[in-house]
Amino acid sequence: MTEDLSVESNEKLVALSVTIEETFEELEERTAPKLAVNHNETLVIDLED
Amino acid sequence: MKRSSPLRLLHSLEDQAAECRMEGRYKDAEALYGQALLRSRQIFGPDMIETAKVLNDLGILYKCMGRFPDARRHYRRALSIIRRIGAPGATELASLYHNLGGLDHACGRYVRAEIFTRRAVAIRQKALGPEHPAVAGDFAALATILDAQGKRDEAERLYRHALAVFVRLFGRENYDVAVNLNNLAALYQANGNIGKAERLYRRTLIIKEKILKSNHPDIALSLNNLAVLYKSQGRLNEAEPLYSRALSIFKESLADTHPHVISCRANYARLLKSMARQAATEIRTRRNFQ
Repeated sequence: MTEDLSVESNEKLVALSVTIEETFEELEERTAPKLAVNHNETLVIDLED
Repeated sequence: MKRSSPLRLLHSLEDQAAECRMEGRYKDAEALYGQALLRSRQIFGPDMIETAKVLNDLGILYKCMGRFPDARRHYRRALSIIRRIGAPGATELASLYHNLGGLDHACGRYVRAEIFTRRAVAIRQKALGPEHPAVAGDFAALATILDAQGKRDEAERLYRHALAVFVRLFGRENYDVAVNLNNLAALYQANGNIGKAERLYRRTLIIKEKILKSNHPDIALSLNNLAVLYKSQGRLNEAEPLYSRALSIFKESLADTHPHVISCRANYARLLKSMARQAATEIRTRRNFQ
């Protein structure tokens, strides 16, 4: 009985550590996003007759 | 294998959308950004910098598509979030001013465009210094607005400065370099410096053909400009295939109501009229000699 409980606890601990690891990975990824800028490009219009 | 978390999915949608926009696949980009906006709101809520970023990206996309009221609406929503929450850095506000200025430039509202873009320059230059590529990007945007108002000396100075920064940091075969070469060529063309303008358009096209897909609307834009230059020189037969290709590229990715499509079609019509007039003159001349 005691053995079974410790196996279950171990599995829970492993699962918890995986979740914590993933949460840290996500937090690392969540750096403040940078807003992109557009480009102004000149299109020439033919005004000659 | 990494689990596909909501955040990773959001980043993946944003990356795919940006790729589609860079390839000129605007409809696909719109669908992906739409999904990204939905996810961003689910994950972070409506008033977070991440949501402002997607709204800003959609604004840029709509500007490319010529849907200017939609672009303005999305930029304004992003701006109101940034103002409400306070951006992590002052440069985010600068980017939105830059984009609002760019939108006014596209709509022909040059005075307001200049006000917005000068604000962007002031904020970003104070934060990053004049040699930073993002500041050079603001200078380049300001240059197009000054050029459109005939303030060509200041525009040329800013184009040259921006180009020097871009070439030094990114090399010669870069998108920012190509856009600025095109714009500087247009300035030379307006000044009557045709030889220089032609050389720069050719360089622009070499770079764009190398780094963009062959049917990207940015290639069509420079083809149109070079065609205008050829026509002004009486090189009608050289201009014709350029207009033909430019119009076919534009029509593939832009709506018929997009200002670029309207302008390119009008330019092409003028060329065809000139060619018809030239052909008629040649026939008359031949008859007179017979």
